[in-house]
Parts: sequence; structure tokens; C-alpha cells
Amino acid sequence: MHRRAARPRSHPIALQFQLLWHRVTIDNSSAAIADELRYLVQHADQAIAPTMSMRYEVRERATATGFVVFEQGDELSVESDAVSVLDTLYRRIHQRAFEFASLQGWVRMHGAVVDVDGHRVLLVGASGVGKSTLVLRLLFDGAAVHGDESALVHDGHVLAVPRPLHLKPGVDDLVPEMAPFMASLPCLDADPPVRAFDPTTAGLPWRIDETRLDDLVLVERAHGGWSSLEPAGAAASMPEIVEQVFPNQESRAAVIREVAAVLRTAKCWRLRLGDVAEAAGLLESIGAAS
Amino acid sequence: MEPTTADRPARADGLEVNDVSDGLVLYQQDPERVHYLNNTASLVFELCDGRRSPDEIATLLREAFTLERLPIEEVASCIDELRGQGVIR
Repeated sequence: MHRRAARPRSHPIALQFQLLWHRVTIDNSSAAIADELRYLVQHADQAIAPTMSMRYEVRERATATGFVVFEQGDELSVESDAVSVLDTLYRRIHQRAFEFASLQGWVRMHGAVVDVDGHRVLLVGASGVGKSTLVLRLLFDGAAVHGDESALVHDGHVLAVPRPLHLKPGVDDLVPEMAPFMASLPCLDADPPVRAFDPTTAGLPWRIDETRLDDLVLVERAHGGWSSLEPAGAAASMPEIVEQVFPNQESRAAVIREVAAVLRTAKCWRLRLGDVAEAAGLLESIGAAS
Repeated sequence: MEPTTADRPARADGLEVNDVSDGLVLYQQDPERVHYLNNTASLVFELCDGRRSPDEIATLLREAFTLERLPIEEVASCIDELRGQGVIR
């Protein structure tokens, strides 16, 4: 890659955070960029020690409007505005983190991770099924929420991917405790707009660690209805679970092996997610049922 | 005369067998397919070792589950299904 002329930095703003095994640093001198990157950064306390590093720099272009993004000192891209910078960095940083995880044998799937009554629970379900709202309810009920969107599994263990909870408009109607925080959260101008909530900014603990999975819950939407939770067969549920895997470097055989390893010991459940508070109560009963 | 695979069903080659809590998940490389077997089908699959006949498998299942009668038809049906899926020969 070649270097492109860019305006020298004026007031560097260095952002640092850990994403799984990577320590990520983003140097930047633009307040607009720093504001956008709030959507990306999280402050989860992660039990795994970072062994790798990613370094990025964003500079304003010297001769035109826009920004130049550098990765490890080499030019990665030229972006027209701060939103595009966020998009590029978000994709690139996560892509590298997930590739590394995949090479270590981890398989990533759509799923939220939460500890309920001493049970490590993985809520598996497609985007939009209501996982974020449900874990937000559980968070304010006192559960230890690890992540709301994707999780890594390997050898029967699960590890949440650290990401601020992504909240859609109206979530504070379902989880009223969230209302005081909504206006100040970083917002992605999508349709619908998505706000990023780092629990630590509300003074709530957020720790992510790896342990054996106790319960896997397949979540499906029950629009406006009651919630229900019932045991499900592991073998019979596996095709639906495999559908929620994000394939990366690993082979199809490895995906099957890792999902099966989880289902060797974890109990399998099916949650029809209607009323959120009711669903949270049902999940809190899993410990008692076991 | 030597028994044939029709007499003594055996698992197909090239299968990766994964345990789950209530069955087996078989990964077949060529053609690439995944098979999800419930507990009963898993037991029949595991007993198809190329040495046992379907009648012997039915006898083992009757003993294992203290059944009143030999599940000969059920075993034959399960073997047909597994053979149709290409996981036994």
C-alpha cells in the first residue's frame, strides 16, 4: 500500500479498547470522528488477555475534504465523512478479530450471552428477534450480561463478542429503566436508528469471560403474545442453530463439530419471545428447573 | 456364502460422528451433508457395525429397553432410512 498526503495531526485523540484477543488503538485528531467512534468503543472487562494489537490512524485529508484511514501505518482507505470512517473501521476491526478467533478454533454465531442464576445461557436467534431487548431486561433485573449479538463457541465453551448493546427506538417503553440514558447514547443513523449502550456508562458491571455453556435457548419471536419456554431436543434443534453460525475460516465439518460440542452437555430450550418481562422471568427460572 | 452388507449393515465411510445430548450429528464429506439422528436412530446406527444382522440389532434393542416384542419392523424401517440417507451401507 502507498501513503497519501494527509494533513498533519493537530490534537491527537487516542482511543483504546480490547476486542477479544486484540488491543485496538485508533489515533485521530478530529472531534467529529471521535464522536462517531463512540459507537464502536466498549469498556467491557474481559478475562482473556490481549495478545495481538491493531493500530489505526484517521487523518483529515490535506488537499480535499474527507479522511484517510491507516492500518498499521499503511493507507487502508479514503473516506468522505465521519460515518464512512466508522463503517470502515467497524468492519475491518471486527473482520480481523473474527478471523483470528476462527483460526484459534472458535466458531461465531448469532447469540446473546448472559449468566442467569449461576447458569451460562446462550440465546440463539437471528437479528431482530429481540435478543437485545431481552438481555437489557435481564441486565436491569441483575443478571450478568456478556453480549447481545454474537458469541464464539469452542470445545463446549462460550465467549461473548464484546459489543455495546444495540438498542432500537422504543426499547425504553419495554425496559423503562433505560429511559434516562437513551438521549445521550451514541447513535448510528440507520433505519431504524440504533443506539449503542455500554453498561459501564450507566455504572453497571460488564465482564466477559469464557466458560462451559449450561443452557442454549433458541429464541423465536411471538409478536405481541405471551412468552413461553420449553425444553427442546438437541439433535432436532441443531439445524436451526447451525443456521445462526457466521462461517469464517473454518470448515463446515468444524462448524458442526463445535456446535455439537456445545450440545453435548448444554440443555436445549425453545423460547417464544412475546412479553419481554415474562420471557426474562422464564429464563430466570432455568436455574431452578435444573 | 459370505453375508452381504444388506444382511449385516455397516456405517458408510467418510463420516464424522458427533455426539449431542440426545442423539448423533453425522457430517458426511462427499457428498457434503449433515445428518441429525435422534436417540433411537443413533442406537441403530451405532449397532450397524457390519457384524450384526438386523434381527440381532432388534434383539439388542429389546434387551436394552426391556421391550415385550422384538422391534424387527422398526429396526428394518430405521435401517432403510439410514441407508437412504447414505450413512450406512
